[in-house]
Amino acid sequence: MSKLSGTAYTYLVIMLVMIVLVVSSLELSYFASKLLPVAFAIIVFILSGVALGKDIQTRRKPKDSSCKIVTRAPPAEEIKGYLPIAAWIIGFSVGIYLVGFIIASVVFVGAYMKSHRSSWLASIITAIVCAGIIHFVFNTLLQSNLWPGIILDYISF
Amino acid sequence: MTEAFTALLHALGNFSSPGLWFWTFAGSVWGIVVGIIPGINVLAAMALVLPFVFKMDPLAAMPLMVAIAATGFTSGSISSILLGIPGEAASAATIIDGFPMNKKGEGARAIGAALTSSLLGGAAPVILALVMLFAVLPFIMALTSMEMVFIILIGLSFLGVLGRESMLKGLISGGIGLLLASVGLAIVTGEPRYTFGNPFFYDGIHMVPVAIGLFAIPPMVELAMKKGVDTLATQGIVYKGMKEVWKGVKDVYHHRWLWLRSSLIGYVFGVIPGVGAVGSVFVAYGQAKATSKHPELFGTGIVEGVIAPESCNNAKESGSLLTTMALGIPAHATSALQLGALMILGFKPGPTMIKENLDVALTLLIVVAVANVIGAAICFPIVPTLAKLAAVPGRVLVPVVIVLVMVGSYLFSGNIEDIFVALVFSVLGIIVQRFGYNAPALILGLILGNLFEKYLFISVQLGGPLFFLRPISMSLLIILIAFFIYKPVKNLIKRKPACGATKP
Repeated sequence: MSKLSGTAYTYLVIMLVMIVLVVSSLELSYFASKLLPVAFAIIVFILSGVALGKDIQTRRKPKDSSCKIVTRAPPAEEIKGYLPIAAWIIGFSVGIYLVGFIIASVVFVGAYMKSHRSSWLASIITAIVCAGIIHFVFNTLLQSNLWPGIILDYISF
Repeated sequence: MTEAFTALLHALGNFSSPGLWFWTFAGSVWGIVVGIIPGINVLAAMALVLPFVFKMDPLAAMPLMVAIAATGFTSGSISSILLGIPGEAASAATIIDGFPMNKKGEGARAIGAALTSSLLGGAAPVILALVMLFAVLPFIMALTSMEMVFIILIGLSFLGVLGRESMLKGLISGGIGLLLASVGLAIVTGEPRYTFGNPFFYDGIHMVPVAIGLFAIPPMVELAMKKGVDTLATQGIVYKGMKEVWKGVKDVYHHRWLWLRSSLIGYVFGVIPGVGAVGSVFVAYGQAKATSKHPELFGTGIVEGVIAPESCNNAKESGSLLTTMALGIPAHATSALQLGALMILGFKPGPTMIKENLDVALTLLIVVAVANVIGAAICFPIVPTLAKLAAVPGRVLVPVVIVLVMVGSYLFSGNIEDIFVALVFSVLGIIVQRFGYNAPALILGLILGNLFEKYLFISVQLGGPLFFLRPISMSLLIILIAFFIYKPVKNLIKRKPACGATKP
């Protein structure tokens, strides 16, 4: 059996999730609560099944020269490409949770720019200006009280 | 009719407020800045502003959102012409002739033509939108919840099916959006659904972090992944000054019928859900070539090749805003976010908004015209400065935008968990993009899901299970069914072979 395409795997995942949704929806107490989730989950399941069938059928057919074949990098390599930026964003999010928006923003912007061949001066200035604008606009002007971070909150800054 | 006229007077009266002018100006500026920077699009710009909208006065927030969409496509032409890089996807058609014009030393002339076409294309169809609104008013007033059920389904189906990728993927995306809307307390019974016992989810999944995750973060991820292209400006900017710009302005007058046809195309495509900006501008470009006396010159740097797509680009905004406000179904991704903003502010887009807030609807349509005028007024004198914005390096743009999106995600509800939601949906957004699903249909399902459920249960309560037998409801149901069976029946008749294998 020929290997499934990446798209086919997404259909399979969606179908699996829909099965879980239907099963969990049926456990709800009221009919009115379960009707729409069950109905739409079944519809999406059917649509995904049809799409999966069409995808498998298309891949089995002899290739027509008029058909466009989009060649992508192998999945492992593609995922590898996302890892650096994913690490930056997740690291920044964790930083926000720990030390709050302002400090995390300064560190993130400065570190990102420096690691991407910016000079120290440009990185530091951009980081401070960015954090300064955010603090002024949101904390001072709009009184929004951005998340201070659990560490700073704990030591009561 | 008297009420409509009174509403129009109120709408015009709203323009005596300095706040409305300020936020229209702010939205126009933001739209222009974002439009010119390749890598960040109008959707991202609107998603960034969405968290702040709910804290604002409605007549400040909505002009801001509308102005961003109205002018975001104007400045995209500048980077298309001067740099050969579309500031917006919808400016891609402008590159075909705009960039060659720049290479020939006619860049300023092309910009003059582009900005004038955008201004007139964006402002003039507003009159048509106002006339159409008054013309369809009786029809809109006759709509009840029983019709709204099918209108929502039609809107979702059009947006899902007519999108760039496959029909099935579009429908799956819309269905997933509807399922996401069922998270939280059930609207009819109050029973918690898929909350995992966490009170954070009782209110459902907030639209704002989802929009940010789907539309604002993936473009930054893509930009960050572009190796060896740290700055997007790869060649020098050739710009000869205002005298040449004025030539472009006169070109639009000489080709006024082309401008009119292209604007009409944009407006009509704006009203119809699902076609999208990119499709409509290429249709406009195609008709310009087909009706030109010198079609062989298209692609070599001819001003008609700039006038047509730029007129069309801006004209669709008034049409899509009309559909969004009058029927409650957004025609495009930008209007989906506008719909979300209207709902955050307490409006009920659709017949209810037209009945109760007609003056606000009219104000917003007029704002489209005003924003286009402001946008052109800003762009004309400072084109070289604006062009430099397109050269902002990715290493600066990426972290700054990501900081803004995280702030925005948090600010909407003040819950740190919303950052987690934005992160999850940014992963989903990347998957949606990578595998060709339809992000606008997904977010539309999320926005309209609860409304759909509410209308459905009201309809069943009032009209029983056969509520769709009402004349208007039945007509809408027939349109929906015809829409779905048209393509498969057509394919069956033609017996086209399947095509489109994609390697992983």
